Amino acid sequence: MGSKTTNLFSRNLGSITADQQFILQEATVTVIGCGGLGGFVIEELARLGAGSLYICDPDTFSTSNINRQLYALSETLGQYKTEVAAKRIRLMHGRTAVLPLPTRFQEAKKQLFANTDVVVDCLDNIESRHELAKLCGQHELPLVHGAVRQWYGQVGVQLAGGTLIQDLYGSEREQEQSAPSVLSCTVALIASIQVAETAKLLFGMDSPLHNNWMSIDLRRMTFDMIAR
Amino acid sequence: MEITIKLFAYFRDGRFKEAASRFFDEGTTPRKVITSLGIDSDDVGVIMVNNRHADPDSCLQQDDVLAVFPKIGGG
Repeated sequence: MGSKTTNLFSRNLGSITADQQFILQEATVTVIGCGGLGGFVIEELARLGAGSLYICDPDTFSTSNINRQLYALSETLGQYKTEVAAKRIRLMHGRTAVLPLPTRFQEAKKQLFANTDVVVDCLDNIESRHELAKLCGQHELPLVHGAVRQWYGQVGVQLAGGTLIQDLYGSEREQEQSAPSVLSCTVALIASIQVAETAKLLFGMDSPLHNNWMSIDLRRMTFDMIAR
Repeated sequence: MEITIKLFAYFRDGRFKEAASRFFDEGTTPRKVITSLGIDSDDVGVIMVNNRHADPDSCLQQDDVLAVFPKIGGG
């Protein structure tokens, strides 16, 4: 690890070791969905020092995204979310390579899943989450799940071969009601937990969220770990 | 028979925070309890009885603890 990298991430050290910083630099993380959760996840992974990010979302920014999506600004409206995120990360520092894929993840499977370490689920609908979980199962990849609505969120980790997504949503492929209300504070919290869990997966650290999940209620401030 | 109900996330709105004990007829099911609370079964994601995943049409027993979580899918 060069001195530039040491300076860049010097304030990570003490929380993580130099060896773990190196693991991050060598790691590839796939982020599916670059809206609310995805924006914060990408930002935090780059600031941690993840070496490569594959980011995927077919959408462009619209005005209604601004209340909760980090990269939704007056000046980015109409632009692809992946392109805006990639530009931001390149401005941050030169240590995170970003591959932006402005398409549906089902249409970029080879790029997204063949050569990655962890997949982060930042999608906004249940049907796609089922499809993503199935793809992760096929590629034997761990999946860091997060979902939000209003003041409420859930987060968990499906290890390779696990069934967390099916357990959370059942087997039926039903579409959730469109465009639920979501607050920025809920999004940022759930995304941050997803990033912590992603780092721990890369480090080979255990977690109570492995093949497990938690339900978070920010209105009543309850954090419930669900024993499965 | 008495069942303890735990609601999570937006299912608590306008109902009760966390846990409440209610009386139901013998042989009641999670689905019947959920309906009695005015919750649309299509909104239900996870049902647990005594900390284990349970079928909505399983038979509840005296003193069971029923936990009901909504489907949350936004991102």
